[in-house]
Amino acid sequence: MSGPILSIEGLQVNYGHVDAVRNVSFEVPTGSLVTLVGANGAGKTSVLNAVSGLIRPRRGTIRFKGEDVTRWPAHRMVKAGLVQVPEGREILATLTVAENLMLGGWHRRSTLATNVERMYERFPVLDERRKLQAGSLSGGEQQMLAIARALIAEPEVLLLDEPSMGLAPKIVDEVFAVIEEIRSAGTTVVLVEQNARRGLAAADFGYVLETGEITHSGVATALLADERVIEAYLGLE
Amino acid sequence: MFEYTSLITLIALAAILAYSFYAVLLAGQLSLAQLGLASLAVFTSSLVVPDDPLFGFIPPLVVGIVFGMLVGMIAAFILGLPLMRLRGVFLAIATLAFAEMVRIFLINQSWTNGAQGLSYPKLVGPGIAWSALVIVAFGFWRLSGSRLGRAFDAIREDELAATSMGINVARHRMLSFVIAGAISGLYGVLLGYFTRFADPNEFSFTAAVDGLVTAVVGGVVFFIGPVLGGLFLTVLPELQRTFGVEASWIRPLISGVLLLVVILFIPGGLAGLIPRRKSASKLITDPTLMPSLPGLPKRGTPLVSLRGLSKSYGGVTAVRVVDLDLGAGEVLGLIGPNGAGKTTLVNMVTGLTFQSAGTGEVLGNALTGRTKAHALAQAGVARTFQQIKLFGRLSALENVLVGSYRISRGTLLRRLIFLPSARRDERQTVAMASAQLARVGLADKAATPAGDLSYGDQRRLEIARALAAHPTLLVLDEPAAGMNRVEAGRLAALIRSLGTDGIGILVIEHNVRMMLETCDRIIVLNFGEVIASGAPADIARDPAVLEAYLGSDATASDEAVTRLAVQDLTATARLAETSRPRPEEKQ
Repeated sequence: MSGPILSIEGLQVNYGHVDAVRNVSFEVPTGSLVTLVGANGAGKTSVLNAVSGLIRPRRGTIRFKGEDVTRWPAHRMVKAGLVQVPEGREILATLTVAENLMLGGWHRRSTLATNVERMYERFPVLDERRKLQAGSLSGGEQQMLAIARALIAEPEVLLLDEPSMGLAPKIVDEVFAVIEEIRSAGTTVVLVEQNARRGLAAADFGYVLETGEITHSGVATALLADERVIEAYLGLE
Repeated sequence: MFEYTSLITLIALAAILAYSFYAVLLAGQLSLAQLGLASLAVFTSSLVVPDDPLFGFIPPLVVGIVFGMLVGMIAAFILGLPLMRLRGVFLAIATLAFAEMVRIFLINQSWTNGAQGLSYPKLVGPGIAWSALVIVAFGFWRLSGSRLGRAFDAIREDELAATSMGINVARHRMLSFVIAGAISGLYGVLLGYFTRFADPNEFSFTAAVDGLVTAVVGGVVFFIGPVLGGLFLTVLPELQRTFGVEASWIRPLISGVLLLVVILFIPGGLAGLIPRRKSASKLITDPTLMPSLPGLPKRGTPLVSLRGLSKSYGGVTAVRVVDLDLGAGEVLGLIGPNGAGKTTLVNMVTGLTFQSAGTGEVLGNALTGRTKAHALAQAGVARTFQQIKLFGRLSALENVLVGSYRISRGTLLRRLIFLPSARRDERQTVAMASAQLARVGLADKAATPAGDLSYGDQRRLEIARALAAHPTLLVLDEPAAGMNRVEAGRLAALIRSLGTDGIGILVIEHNVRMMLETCDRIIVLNFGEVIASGAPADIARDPAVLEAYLGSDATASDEAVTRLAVQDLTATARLAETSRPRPEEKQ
């Protein structure tokens, strides 16, 4: 792991009068897996959305590969190599699986065909269903489609927002296996996960958010052993 | 001088026309039939309005107004029978077609004088026009904050959720359309007796667009909107004339630009600029104000019984021959892989879909194609949704208030004459809603719009909204999705306490740990079939369940989880037997 591919400094996000994120700073080393955990409404999704350009932060600086990208819109971030798999999958339900995948490669036309084929190989279930409407897939299949669609955009940094939400335990295992694979292929991953124990177990570094601020941070294994974190977020085993 | 009285009258008329659009927009519909209804009213009234007072004391204008409003209502009702099943742009097109048909029909009739039009005596001046406007506005003022007003809000925000609260959506949409018909009739008659002339071509598409724009510019979230819209759009050209803007092209340009500014930059229209005290954002925590509610059925009373229930879509069978029983006070869990048919099953139990085969009974209602979701909700079924269905622009408290639709009484008619009992009823409803918000831990977010809440808070708000209906049977579809373990633990405690209260609970959830801790019994579905059912501890050990659902690596940790669950259940049971804690304390 070399220097940070992504660094966030003094990030602040508001919705009207509500401060969703206040003064959040952290770095994501190249090739690492970083997990954000915290209660509902702590601001995890807002941080991801600000980084991916879906919402404009009130204050703060976001640097991606050394460049200031704070005010970049989402489509430009995707082109630069930062791609988000949003909360709730957000697949295009009335389009087919194949069409969903092809849209993932909007900025990667030259490699689109080979990338799509690679995804069919990696996710045989999508191959079987390529002509079906994406909305007819089960929850687990939709999550795989959302991840595959993001991978076709050839991300250097992949943001995953609650990829295990609403999925059966067995499918959650599969999702985490895929995340592990993506990461070992060299892609940097930022993960937001309610299943905090699992999310941290997969991570190099973890950050705990509470009412819009980072309250704990460090090497993931250390956080997993931190009693205050266990009590507030992990629950007793 | 004449010009000003005429202008003042025209403002009132424009506002009344805008109210006829407001009435349907309030319930989330877009109709363009209003001008057709108005012209029917004004032309038919010419046939019945006498020259002298009826029976010597009823003025001819009153006869005309009453008759015109009746014509508007009846025509709207007849038109609504086929058209009210349409939504959005399709409803707009169909109603527009109706208005055009009326116009062409009236032009080709001899009794209307065709395109020459009919003349009327001058019976309407500013006094009458503004009196009529005040009465209409008063009605809408009292509507907002009444039970009926909340039902319209709910339908506008999410029809499916509204149905699940026990609101008969079809009937309410029709009601809003008939109200629009009455106001259209009023507008038509007033216009005829004010301009002393009516010509079918006056009631054209352009006029409909004017009415719609007036309503939208004024704003459709606050009852005063149409008045402001009428003022704005009628006075604007006059102001320009006063300031000497005479070139014919620049006047529409300025009006158009101002219109765009309002629509783009003032959400909620001109009425959105008015600061208002929101009565429905204040909690009432006085326990003496809680409504007296009927008791729940005795523990163990059968609530749901399904026999051989199946559902197929085309060639795909989503649910295959499922038997299920649920009694009062029981927490029944439904688990299984994604796509196993869990949501389809609960949709049949709540009346949203109808089974292809088999029989079912829910709270004494047989499940047939005629069992509607809102009727089951009225009988005591409340639910939450896998894809959260809150009324996003309403406050958290307002959402929960809609939930209490089932246990509250209509207040609009009593509010019109300010009966104190209406206010008392409203306060009771707010007290009930406040208690439910507090129970799920959202009391401090009462005034926040539901759409601005975090995901987990939205899940909790849905539960509060369902509880406000004082349900006998509560269906929860993935209530813990998006919650961390600590939050899920709190939710589990809440669900158990609801079971202790005597509510029958059917819960779908992937958080297996929580299910093992919470449920009295668990049913496992796979490919639409029941593959296991029984006590949580047995389910966690069942090899078929491990294979299909939990995954093989679950086995290692599974022992621990099971042990924990069993301990927890016995502890809960002991607690329940010895002390019977009140649910509030248990949290």
